[in-house]
Amino acid sequence: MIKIENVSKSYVKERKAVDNLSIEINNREIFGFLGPNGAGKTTTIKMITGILNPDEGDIFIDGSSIKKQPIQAKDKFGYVPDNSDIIWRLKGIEYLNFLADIYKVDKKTRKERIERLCETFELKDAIHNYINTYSRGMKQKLLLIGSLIHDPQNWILDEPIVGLDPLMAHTLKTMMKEKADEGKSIFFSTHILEIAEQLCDRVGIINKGKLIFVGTISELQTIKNQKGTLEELFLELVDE
Amino acid sequence: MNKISLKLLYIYFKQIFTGRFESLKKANEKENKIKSGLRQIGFIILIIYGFGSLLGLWGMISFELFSQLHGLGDQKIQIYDKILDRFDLASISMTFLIVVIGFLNIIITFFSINFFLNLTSSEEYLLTLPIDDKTLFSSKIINISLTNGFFFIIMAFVQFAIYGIIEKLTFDYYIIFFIQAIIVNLFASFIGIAVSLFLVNIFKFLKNKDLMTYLSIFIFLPILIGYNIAFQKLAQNPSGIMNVLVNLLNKNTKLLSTIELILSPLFLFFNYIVNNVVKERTILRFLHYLIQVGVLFLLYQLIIIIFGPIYKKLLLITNIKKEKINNKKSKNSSLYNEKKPFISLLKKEILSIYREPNYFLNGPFVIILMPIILVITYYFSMKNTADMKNLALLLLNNKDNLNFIVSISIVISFLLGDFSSITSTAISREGKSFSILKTLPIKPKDYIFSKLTHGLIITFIGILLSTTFIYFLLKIDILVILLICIISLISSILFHIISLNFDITKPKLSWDNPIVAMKQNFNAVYAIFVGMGYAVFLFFQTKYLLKASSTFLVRLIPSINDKSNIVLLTGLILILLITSLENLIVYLISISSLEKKLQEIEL
Repeated sequence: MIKIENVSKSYVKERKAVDNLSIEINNREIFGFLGPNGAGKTTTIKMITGILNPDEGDIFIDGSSIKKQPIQAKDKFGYVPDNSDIIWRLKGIEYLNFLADIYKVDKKTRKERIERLCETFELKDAIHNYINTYSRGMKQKLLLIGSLIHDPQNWILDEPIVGLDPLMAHTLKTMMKEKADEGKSIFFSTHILEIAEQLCDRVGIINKGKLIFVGTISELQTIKNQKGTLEELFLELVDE
Repeated sequence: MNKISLKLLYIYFKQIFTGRFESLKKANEKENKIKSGLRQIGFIILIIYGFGSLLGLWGMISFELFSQLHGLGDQKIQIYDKILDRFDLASISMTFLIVVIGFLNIIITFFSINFFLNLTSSEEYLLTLPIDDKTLFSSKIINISLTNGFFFIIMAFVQFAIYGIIEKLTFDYYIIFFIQAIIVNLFASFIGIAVSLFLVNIFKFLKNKDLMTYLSIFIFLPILIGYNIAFQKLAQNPSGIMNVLVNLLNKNTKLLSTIELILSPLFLFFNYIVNNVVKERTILRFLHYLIQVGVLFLLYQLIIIIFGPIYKKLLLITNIKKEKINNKKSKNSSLYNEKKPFISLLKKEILSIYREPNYFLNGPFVIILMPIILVITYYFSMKNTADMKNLALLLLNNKDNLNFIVSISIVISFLLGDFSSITSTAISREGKSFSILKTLPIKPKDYIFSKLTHGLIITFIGILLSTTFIYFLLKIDILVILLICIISLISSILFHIISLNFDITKPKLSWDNPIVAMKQNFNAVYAIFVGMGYAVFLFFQTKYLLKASSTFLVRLIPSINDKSNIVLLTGLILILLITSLENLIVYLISISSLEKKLQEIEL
């Protein structure tokens, strides 16, 4: 469970990138975080994962504050960034073992998980190669495997579909549903509204740093008093 | 050059300026003006100091040579069948030195060709734009020539300027020679680019960045050692520099004729300028200058026409070697062995630095290299070192001198062990991947420990090499050497903490080229300055404590006065305890601040 409480963040004075944001993502839920470019999606995700420190408010991951108990909080989620900037000169397997050491995953479990996930994401043949020889999609797959190495209760993904081929995108979507069914919470940002429509139990729409809607798509339709696709509703809401 | 290539050139220079001279930027919103002012002043002092120390020796040699030539007055010297006056000799020296500079420029250009051929992601975007090969290439040529040649242009101008000052020449001379310095270096760079592209086009493996970086070291190492030995010998006897030149010309029968034959245009130009600028002014020297510019322009055009398409072709060749699939490894269960987070972080740190040639060569390699350079220089100047050895033995027999030698040995091994930028760039080297680390449940203490431990491992190698060298040179007691080694290592903790503090306070995380994180990182320079100050403190502290402990011991047990080794060992153990205490206090004070700063880093 991820709880975001009155979080704000500014990069420059008098302009808040994220303004007093509060959301709760429950277990067994896939939550889609939507918004136009520069709306504050990545800033929010960076605050949830501890890359940025919130100016105000706090974020709790299964009850642990990212500000006050960062180690406990970070132990409880897996994160897939929106870019694949792994610049360390490591082999794929070394990177995954590094993560497994940090998350304190025992030898037997890590071996089983790495082999299974590499099979699922079709990275088995390249896992002993250096990461700098990987394509963008392969790096994305490696990041996905790394985020699941400790089987986290919360899975946070920033634009996860970008860089993946249709087959892998499908595998990922299936996996997201499976994780939610297992009782885990999934928080992901996307620009692709069809994916949000297919996958999400609830969506949050952010614009100019402010959360302008949280709820199910049918709730959004009720508020807007019209039947339509998420894309139509999104465009109308952001326009306002 | 058309409008687009000029625009591209502007972008390239702007990139260089923002990358290398970031510290000169004005204060931003979060920074106060006093702090930014101090930063800018500090940066300017650093530039002056950096260039000053590099050019100082070069300037000194030029000054000695031209002063001695000036001292000849109207006297003439016969070399074979030629009668040479001071202007002829000055021209020969200038030709010779400028050729050396040009040659170095060609080599540098060759080894930096990979940064010319391997584009950054933003540069790659340029390939998708409708820009023709020649436009792209022409702006790159000027960019690489001026950035690589900048130091050489200054180097060339320094010797011309010194000549001008000694001969009391008028202002126009300096303008002519400044332009000359640029022309010669542009000429060298163009030749370097042409040769490099020609070779890479034939031997495609030369496009491999890692290979070229390692190869460059094997080329530059002998040059560096040779430069060191030659300048050391010249500096030992500066009054004989002119004799060295005359003897060189007398001993090598072909040297003078070669200079005249092969380098005649350059030699004649220098000869013409140094003669005529003093004796008479004529329009001919400007004509000569115009011819050079014309030749340079033709060469530039020729390179663009011939190598423009080759450049584009080479840009598109990938140098990443596809690795073979190795499924056997996955069956090896030791691959999945568990490690403590600290050990895993240390392993990542070590693997990352040893697998990236730029990091390895500017980090561990420097530490290993410096004692080796010292040993080689020592070997080649054996005559003087033998005197030094005798002097050292004489000094070692006197108690006060022994203290001095031991204090100096501690400082030398400290300096040789610590003068790399491993810890002062430790955070910057993470680059954009630092954001991944920030999302992981890593205890800040584990992370900081891994960085400090890595720095200390490298330091230990440097200290071990330097103390071994000191041991063989001075034949000091092995226990004393062992204590020198341990004291230097413990003193290094403080240096690494300060170095890490610089990089944690202001890391350079946004880069495409790893050189930016290490070589172009001013945190390394700041750390080295602090390290130098600390070395001075270490020297005086050691010397004082050795003297004080010896006086105290002799007063307490007068008979111990004859056993100088025991007195020295006792003093060193006292220093070891005090140094350990100092370093422990610094560590305890700094660790929480380092942890806090680490958590505050934002990307």
